[in-house]
Amino acid sequence: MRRLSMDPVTLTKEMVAIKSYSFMDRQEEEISAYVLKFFEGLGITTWRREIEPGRYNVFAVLEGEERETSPSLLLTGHLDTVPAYDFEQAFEPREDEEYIYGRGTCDMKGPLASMMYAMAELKSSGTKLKGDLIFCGVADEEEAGIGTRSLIETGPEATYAVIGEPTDMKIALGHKGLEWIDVIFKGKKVHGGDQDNGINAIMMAGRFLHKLENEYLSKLKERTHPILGQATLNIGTITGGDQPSTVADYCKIRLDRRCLTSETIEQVYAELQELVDQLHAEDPKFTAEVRDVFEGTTLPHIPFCTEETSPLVRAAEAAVAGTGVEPVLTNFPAWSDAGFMAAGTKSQCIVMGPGELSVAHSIHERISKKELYRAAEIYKVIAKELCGVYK
Amino acid sequence: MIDFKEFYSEEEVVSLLQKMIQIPSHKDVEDREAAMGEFVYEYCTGLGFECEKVYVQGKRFNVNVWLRGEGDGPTLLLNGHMDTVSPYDMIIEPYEAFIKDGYIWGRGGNDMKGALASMITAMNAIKKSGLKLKGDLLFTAVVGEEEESDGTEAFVLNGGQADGAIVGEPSGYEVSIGHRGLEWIQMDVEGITMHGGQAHLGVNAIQMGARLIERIQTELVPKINSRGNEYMGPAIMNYGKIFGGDQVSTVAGHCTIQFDRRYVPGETVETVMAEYQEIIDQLHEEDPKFKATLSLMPNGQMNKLVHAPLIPEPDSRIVQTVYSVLGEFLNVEEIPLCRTRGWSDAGVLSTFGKIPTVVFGPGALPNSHTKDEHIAIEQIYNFVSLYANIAAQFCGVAE
Repeated sequence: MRRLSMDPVTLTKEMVAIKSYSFMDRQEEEISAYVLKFFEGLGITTWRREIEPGRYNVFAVLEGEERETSPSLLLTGHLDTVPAYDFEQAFEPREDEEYIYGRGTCDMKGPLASMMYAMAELKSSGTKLKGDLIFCGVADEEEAGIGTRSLIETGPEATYAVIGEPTDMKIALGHKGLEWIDVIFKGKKVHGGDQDNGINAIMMAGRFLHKLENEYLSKLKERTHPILGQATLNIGTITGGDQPSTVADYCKIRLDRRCLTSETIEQVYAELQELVDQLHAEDPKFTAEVRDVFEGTTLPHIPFCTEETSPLVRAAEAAVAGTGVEPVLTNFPAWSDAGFMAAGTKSQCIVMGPGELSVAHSIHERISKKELYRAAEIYKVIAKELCGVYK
Repeated sequence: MIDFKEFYSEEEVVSLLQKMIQIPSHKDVEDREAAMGEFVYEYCTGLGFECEKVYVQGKRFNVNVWLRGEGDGPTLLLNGHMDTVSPYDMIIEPYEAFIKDGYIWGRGGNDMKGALASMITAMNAIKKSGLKLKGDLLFTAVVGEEEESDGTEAFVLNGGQADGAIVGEPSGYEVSIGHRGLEWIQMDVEGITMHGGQAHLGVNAIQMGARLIERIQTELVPKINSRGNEYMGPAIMNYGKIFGGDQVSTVAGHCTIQFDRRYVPGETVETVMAEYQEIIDQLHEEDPKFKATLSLMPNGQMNKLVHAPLIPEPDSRIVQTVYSVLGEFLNVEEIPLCRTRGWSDAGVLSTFGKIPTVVFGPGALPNSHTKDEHIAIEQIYNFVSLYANIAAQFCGVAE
């Protein structure tokens, strides 16, 4: 058996070199095997679960000495990455004094390396924990999220969970919910010269958007959350009609709606439906359908925000402070698997990992080597605090 | 009415139309109408007419055919286009020109090689009858009507003159003496892209586009619709197509709205565009973040002219002549008028050529561009006589 890498920098580079980008064949097979071997080499209990052919979650656990009665901690992150896009030599990691560059360095093989390194250090230093410290590398976060879905459905479920998406080691207590919504306007197609007998769907969309701007967006601005920020709605795309001389018989707008914990998904749809109903009442020719783009294809994208008083947050703050950095409580500015975890399990969750989210998916993706070590240290301290050190 | 029936036969006009259908002349054919033009030129030359080719673009040419008058009577122009639309998804053989149930079936029979066949046969019937017209009868078979109308545009820009004109688009036994002008206009609304999470830093072009639609609907459309003309109905606009934004989570940086604007005499392209520009300027003034540009869509635009209206001239000689001949033919007092005619080359002849013009030809508009395009033999046969009588009455007959 070959010598195993034992530092987070080498771990990151080796994992970046193993491709696991969206839509490749047997996407997470090799990367999960790598992780498995890493833990096996250290004598840490480890296993894989095949979710779909070639799609794996990989697990490791440092079993606690008083695991029945002590809190457990899950360190988790995804094994997959986005494709290289325009990133040249994306899978041949390069480094300078400060950073490692390559696809997946910060999103999120670097953070996984820090988690793995933290486990390895606890194991090799002979530290015994009271509760379980679990690692799980999941499949498919960048696409449909089958990895986290499987983790939620089949466990193990921990008391606390840290999702290691890049936050620059700021403590993200939660994030907004995410709904992608189509509003589909139906008209009646006739020749443009005969428009009295037709219904123009583009005009209907115009009416709806006008009402949306005047009566709804202002209302959303007033909905804020001290951590999560403002409820938002973005009109992402519009498409309708065939050609200028024909009365457009369909028009579709696609909305991105980010909701707060004070809102429910039902409410999000009901409010849009209300606008539709009002317009229909004003003019029966106005008809529109409000539809969930994801409908039934994934778990619901529910917002979450963990209480600042949670032991998880307190432990994270202390651990960060221990590295000489002032802890920052914030939100994660995008959707993540943490949302599924928070909604689908009893675990208290935070998002916290090394690296800058702004370079994720870009040709500038990188991670600071120093931060990989600092993150590992923080994960270790949190684990000791939450799981408890045995004797 | 003069009885021309002994000077032409059904077989003559049917076989002429069949030959023309059998020559494809749509935009996907090399040199489009060139082969068709060659046929018309050869056929009319063969009948002994004075013919000329007028090149419009590349190998594509109009064919002018003259029956010279013998006095100082007015000149009548008969106009028809040689091009057709593509077969697209036709469910019949497009170029066989078979006869079934009293119809000739195939691409272009209705729109409008049928009219060409009737017009040529009418000229030949007059010639064979020995009738001497006082004014000139000019038949012009033009290119490009289904695309950019460059054929009739060239006729007018080359100084083509007449005292009255008939454009033989399929109308059956009703007449249009006016139709609206037509422009396809595009509004490009510009925003500033931004991740949806920071939407407040961006400008959503779709939202701005909706503002534009709303303002046009409330302020401009009522004005537009209040303008009208008894021979063509109100001025109107139609939103035809909209597209904007790239991705759902990104603030849309662009939104394009394309629409069709039908305008009436009294309006011009310039006044039409100025009204939209005014709305754009207004919105920009209210909110400098609103930015939009206005342009005529390049699709189908002529080289120099625009798709102007057919200006009704109910008292003109051509209108009165058509009324008289058709009234006698149908034996009615009130002439059936079509007031919902779409745009045709008649707009160019009327607005830019200053030629009083009517749209009157064999066929039925609903049969144009269809999967089973066809035209009634009875109509192409009768229109020979109708055209010949209109010519005789309009140009006058020398003693």
